[in-house]
Parts: sequence; C-alpha cells; structure tokens
Amino acid sequence: MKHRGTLLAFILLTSCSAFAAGVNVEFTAGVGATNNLVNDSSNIYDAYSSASVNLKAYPLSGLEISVRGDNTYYRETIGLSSLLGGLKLTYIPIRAKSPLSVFLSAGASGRLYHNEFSGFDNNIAEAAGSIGYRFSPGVSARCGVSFKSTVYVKSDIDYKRDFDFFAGVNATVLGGNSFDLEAGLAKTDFTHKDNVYFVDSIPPGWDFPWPYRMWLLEFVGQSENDLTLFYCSPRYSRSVGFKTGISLMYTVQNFQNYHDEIVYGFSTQYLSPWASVWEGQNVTVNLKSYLVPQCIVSAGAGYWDKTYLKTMETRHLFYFQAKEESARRDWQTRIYMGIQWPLALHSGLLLEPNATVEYMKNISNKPLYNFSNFAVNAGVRFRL
Amino acid sequence: MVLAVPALSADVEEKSKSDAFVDLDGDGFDDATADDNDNGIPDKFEAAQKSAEPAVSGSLGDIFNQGELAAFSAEDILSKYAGFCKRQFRTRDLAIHRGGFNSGEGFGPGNGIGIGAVSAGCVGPGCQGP
Repeated sequence: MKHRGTLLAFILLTSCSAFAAGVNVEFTAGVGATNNLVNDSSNIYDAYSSASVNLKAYPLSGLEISVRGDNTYYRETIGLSSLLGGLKLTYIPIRAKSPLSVFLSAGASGRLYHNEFSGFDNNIAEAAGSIGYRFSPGVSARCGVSFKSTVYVKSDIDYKRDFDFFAGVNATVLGGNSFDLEAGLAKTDFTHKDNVYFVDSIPPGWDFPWPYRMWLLEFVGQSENDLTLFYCSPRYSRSVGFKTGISLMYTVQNFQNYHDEIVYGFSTQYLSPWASVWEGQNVTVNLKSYLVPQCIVSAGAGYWDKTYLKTMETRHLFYFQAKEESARRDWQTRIYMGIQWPLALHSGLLLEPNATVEYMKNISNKPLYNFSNFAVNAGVRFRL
Repeated sequence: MVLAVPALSADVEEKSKSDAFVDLDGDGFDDATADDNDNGIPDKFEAAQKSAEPAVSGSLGDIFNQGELAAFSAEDILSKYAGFCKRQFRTRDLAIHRGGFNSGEGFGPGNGIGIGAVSAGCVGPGCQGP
C-alpha cells in the first residue's frame, strides 16, 4: 500500500489512454465503516476504503470485454486489504426486440490478500449460459446453467466448484401485478473431514479411552462429496403510487444429500466459502423510489432462518467434539437504506455519489454468533 | 383486494392493452420505461424535474464536454455502450439467479459493499469478481 499514489496515477493514466482508444471506463471509490467486521461476538470495528477501475470494450455487436482492477484497504485489520484483477466476456447475440433472449458469459479473476490472510488468495473461473422466451407481452420463461470454480492457491481448503441450474417464469396479472417464480438446483464439490474408515472398524457399543480417541484423531482424513441444494423462490412486485416500486420475495432452500459431514470452520476463517452455504428460508421486502428529485432511494428489510454445515473450529481439539455438536443455526434480521444521485452530463458522462446504511441483528444457537452490525458506506461512481 | 387496484400504478395507466406491464428485475417498475441517458432514473420521472429547473449538466457546466476530451469521440463510445446496455437490459433476468450457494448476496444496495459482502464470505467492496 506504500505506492498507492503511484498506483492511482497509473490507473488514471491507463484509463485516459483507454478512453482515447475507444474503451468505456468506469471508476468507483468509496469509504465505509462497520462496528462488526467479521460478524460475530468479537465486535471488531474497522473502516475501509476502496477504489476500482473497470475498462469495457465492445468489439462486436452484443459482445462486451471487461477488465477490472480493484484495491481495498482496511485501516485496522490491514491483513484483509486485497487486490483483485479480472477479465470477463459477456455475449448477448440477439437483439432486444426479439422474443428470444440469450445470455452467455465467462470470466476469470484473482484476489491477493496480505500475508496473514494469504491462505485465502484465490483464483476464480466462471461461466454461465441462459435462455429466455417471451410468450406474450406479459408472460415469459427462462432457464440457465452456471459454473464457478474457486481455487485457494495457498490453502488446504484447495478448491470449491459450484454448478447451478435454474428455471423461472414471470407473469403479469390484473394490470400491474408481476409474479415471478424461480426454482433451481445447485451442486458443489466439498472436501470434509472424515474418519469413517476407523469408525466402521470399531464394534458398536465399544467405548474407547481418550488416548485411543486421540490416536484416531491422527488418522482423520479428508473425503470429497457432492452437496446438492434445491431452492424455490416466488416473488411479487408492483408499483405503489407514481414513483415507488415494491417487491416481496420468499425463498426456501434445502440440502438434498447432507449427512452431517464436517467442513473447516469459519469462526476464525470467515473468508471460508462455507460462510454462504446454508439451508432454510428467508423473506425480504424491497422498496425503490424516485420521489426525491434526481435521486434513487432504495430500502429493504429481510428475515433469514439459516442452518449451516457442521464445522470444525479452532476450539475443537478433536474431531469427535465437532461431530457431536449441533450445526449452527441463525435467525437474522437485516435492514438497509441507500441513496444514489446520478448526474448525467450532456456529453454522456455519468457521476454518481451514493451512500448506504445497514443494520443486522443475528441470534444464533451458538453464543459466538450472537451479534449486531451497523455499517455505513459512501462512495462515488464515475463513468467516462 | 390489493391486487385488484392497478389504478394506483401510473405505469399501468399509461399502458395500452397490447403493451403489458413487465417487471423482470423485481423493482416494481415497468421495464419498458425509457432511460435514454442510462442514469438509472426513468426519463418520465426526470422530465418534470428538468422543466422546473435548469438541467444538472448545466449546473456543472458540462466540464467533460470541452476541449481535448471532446475529441475522444465520446459519442461513438457511448453508442456502442448504449447498444450493449439495451441487450443486457433485456437479459437481466438471465444474468443472475436468486438461490443456490451464493444466495443472499443480492440483498442490499447491490453494489457489493457493506454487510452483505462480509456475510457472503468475502469482505469489503468488490468481492463479486469482474
């Protein structure tokens, strides 16, 4: 971070050159603060700043090539500061007026953390393809697949590979009421801790002394399984008054083949990919309004009931301790409010200051995860 | 009862029977509402404001439309960009889905910053990749 000024100058110079060469350029910069950085009972306060540049080129009709650089800096937990670089191709071959629509994308990115978090340095490759068809002005259907591979280049977590399939329908009824139903299957490879070979060889009912259990621990291995998740999500949206829109959405998702396997924990490794893997349900309501002149005001509230995978934490000295514990279950409430002020200049350039506040309250069956979090962010987006 | 009150929606009032209200992105507004300057605010909501006071660009003096910068052919770049955006807008329900192993990331202001980014397993702004 010592050469931030040089880096900024380089980004500006590169961006101006890119603009001159016919490439669309977008800058974002922001500052933020949270009173609970890692979302647990430790309540770690931190502030951060970020800057990113995104260069977009359109060599063919319907094709976008995007190159992105991103720098995030944390004031207290400096190790979380990171650099990201990425490339993404998006191809939309069919014109907007056609009832058929096709979306294709592929991308790759890499993120580097500071030394103490370098175990989470990762490379991501992803691809997606989907197709939609408009049967009538008010009825359409869609389906698609996506793939995402995350490789942790220095970690024993190694990798995570996600496959997704989804399908949905959208219909408008009684004038301005929009109903949308989406369902899908997601599958991921996961590596979990396992001592099944040794457990299988022990006669039922035998109670071994601790030293033997400790010996067993030495031979806890790792196995690989597939985890499948099914989800279904209905949504209702409509306008309320002249300049306000509202949507109400419910989602339920369940693991299909999970048998209490244990993955690496995230109480101390909250960058773990398992932090976002859960089954349960949630309901959210979102509001968007143009009532404030020249501004976009958005707000939302949501409630989640989540059960996570069983995890092995640093407090667990032995495998069986983690095995005997119940899985983490959270009941979470979140609200947010944001405002954007887009200033479109005559030449087509866009300058957009924005600010958000968010609050989260989490109640868990694990005392470690009883927490609240209040965060504020302010930033600006500039599109050349 | 609530569903049967489409008259509350200005969008519906403006639509003919052959041009139905469609909301694929779930923001409660008709997707067909024009936004020619691509600033995220539909033109019809800006029109009233513009007629009441000088344009925002005027108040800023349109500082980027002068001198050497104008020679970069901004219009050409933006026309390609706008063309892609129209296609992209049509596929906004295809580009993302709302369940699976990364669900919950979509809640919030949608800029990849703040609490949502942290709880989704990656910290801070810009976690979503390119």
